[in-house]
Amino acid sequence: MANISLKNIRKVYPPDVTAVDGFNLEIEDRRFVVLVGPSGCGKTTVLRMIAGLEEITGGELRIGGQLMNEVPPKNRDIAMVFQNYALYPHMTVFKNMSFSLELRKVPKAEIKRRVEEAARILDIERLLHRKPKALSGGQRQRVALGRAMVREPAVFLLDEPLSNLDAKLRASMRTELIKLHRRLETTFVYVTHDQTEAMTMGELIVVMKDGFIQQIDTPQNLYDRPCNAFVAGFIGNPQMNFMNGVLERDERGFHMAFAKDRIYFPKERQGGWMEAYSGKPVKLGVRPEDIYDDEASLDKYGDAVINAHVEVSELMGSEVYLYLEREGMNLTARVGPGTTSRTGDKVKVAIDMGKAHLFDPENENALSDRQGKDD
Amino acid sequence: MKEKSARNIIITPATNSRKPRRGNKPGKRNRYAIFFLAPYIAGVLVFWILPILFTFAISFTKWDGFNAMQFIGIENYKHLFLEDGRFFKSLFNTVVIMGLSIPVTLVLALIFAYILSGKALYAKRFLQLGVFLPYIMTPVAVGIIFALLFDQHYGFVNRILMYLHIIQSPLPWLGNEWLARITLAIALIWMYCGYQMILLMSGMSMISEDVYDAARIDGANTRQVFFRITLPLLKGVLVFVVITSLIGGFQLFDEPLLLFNSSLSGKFPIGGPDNAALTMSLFFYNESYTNFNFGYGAAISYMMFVVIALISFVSMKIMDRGDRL
Repeated sequence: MANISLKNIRKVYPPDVTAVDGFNLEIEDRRFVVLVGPSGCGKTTVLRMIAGLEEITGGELRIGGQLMNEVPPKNRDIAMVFQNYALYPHMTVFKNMSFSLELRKVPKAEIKRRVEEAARILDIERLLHRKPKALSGGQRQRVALGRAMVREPAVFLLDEPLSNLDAKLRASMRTELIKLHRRLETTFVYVTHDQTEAMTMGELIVVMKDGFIQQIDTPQNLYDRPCNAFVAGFIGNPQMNFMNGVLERDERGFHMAFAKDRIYFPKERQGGWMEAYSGKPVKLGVRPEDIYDDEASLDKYGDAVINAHVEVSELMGSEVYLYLEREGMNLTARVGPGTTSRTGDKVKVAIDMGKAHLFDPENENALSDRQGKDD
Repeated sequence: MKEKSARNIIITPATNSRKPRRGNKPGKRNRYAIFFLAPYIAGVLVFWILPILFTFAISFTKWDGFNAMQFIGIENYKHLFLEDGRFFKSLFNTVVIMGLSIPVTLVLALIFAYILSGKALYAKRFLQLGVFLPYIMTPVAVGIIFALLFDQHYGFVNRILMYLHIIQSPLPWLGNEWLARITLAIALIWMYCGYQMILLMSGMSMISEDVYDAARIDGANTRQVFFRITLPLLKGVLVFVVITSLIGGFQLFDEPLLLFNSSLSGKFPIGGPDNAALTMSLFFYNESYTNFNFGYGAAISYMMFVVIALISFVSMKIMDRGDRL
């Protein structure tokens, strides 16, 4: 069993820089957990604390139920893959992979078996006698993974392992890592600043900011029900649109009032919970795919139509990004390739307010939990 | 010119694009190159090539620098190898002094570099400076300081050793063959340790922190990290330090000269007691500029050249092999 439990974990760098605070996380055995957040949010610090490379200032770290705060890295039954791979430059691939086993005095035959098996899985058998400098980025990445695999650890810690690879290789390595996780049936803790990696790989995602956990949830829930504007903005590409306005109510029901526009929430979305915010400024969050410019949608969401100016239209192949401007507000819409909107056009766009999010403009927390609709 | 060659490339895309350029006013480019290189080439010719050839020529003569040269064939070389024991003695001295000083300097430099590379070390900069300072001292000062320190009757070293009851009577540091070599080696260690430390420290700072982290996770303890990660990764710097020390060792000159012949210790012959500190350079200098045997001196310097070339060749071979490992 290699469940990981972090209770009230705190990390303070002298003299008084708090990198992580109040970090609570329970990772079940064999899960693929992703820590995601912008640079400097403390995600790597958490990973390094789990690894034992960073001292824990306060709180409890348990791996497999055992308190690990003071246990040296080598006794934690973990393996780590580093962002720049951290291969030993003077050793061959074989030596790189076998180093930890040699230190543990594993019999030679067993070392050979394990290294060769890992090399076979990672398809690097041909490279075993090369040195790291004679390898490409992708191959080094595999060696780094192999070095972790031969240890047969209870926990894999991966610190932005794909960030040094080119886009194409990164995409294929993502799939391979998912397959590897299934094959090894081990706990993976993966750190990244890339929300795409987090969304595609993580079974559970921990979104962090400034040393604090913002939300722990499945990818789908993070996307559909972000707990605050930061998570909403961080997860999803292109980013969610935010519009500051006032939540008002008239005879047609609750709506968002902007300088010149009024956009109404659909009946099923309206609820008593909105009463509390009525007449108050709120932040509206709309995902780019919930903004439409086709006729059918303009009819369908007729209560939530605004005029806008297309500043730039970007054809992505299967879809088109429209960068819109309205009264000083910038919006991004993700529409189908059949759109007739072109750069410079004045267009009407409809917003699916049934899927819109509301946030408190002060503390940025999500307003309502959308209970009326989803649960 | 650029446009022209570009056009040529377009016209003859299937042929070697560099070909037309070669036929394009041949020699003009070379003439410019020679013009700009001329000052350097002149310098090399006058101060390098000519003296090298001239030295080779006078090594077959007997010449005091004033009177006419007298061609004597290979007499100088014959004398050097067969009659004058000082050549092999100076070679032996040089090797012994290097053997005493280089390994100790390197090990000490490695220890200092390792300790002073540590992160949380109090007065780190001050200690670094302290170890490095002797290197920027002029050998004249080093010669005088060591002559004073190791003086048999008034020297500080003998007093300390006697005070600590390590020795009963004062040791003739500068007056005994082996003690003189050891004293010289100590001076060299003291002088060059800081320099080597700086080189090794810069080498250590090039090793990524992540590699150390990886080693810790792999289960290596401090000793294993040092011997299996740090040391092998410093190989390039170590090879550089060793080769430059070897070459520097064969050129060892001012330290022994000043240690045994400064105004304070002028009572010794030029190579120290019983020529114990007569290095090859010192031997050459003594013959050429003290005894004015320029022909013989030239022969010595040619033999020095052969020895240094041999050492450099061997070290380069070792380095080459190390690279392939």
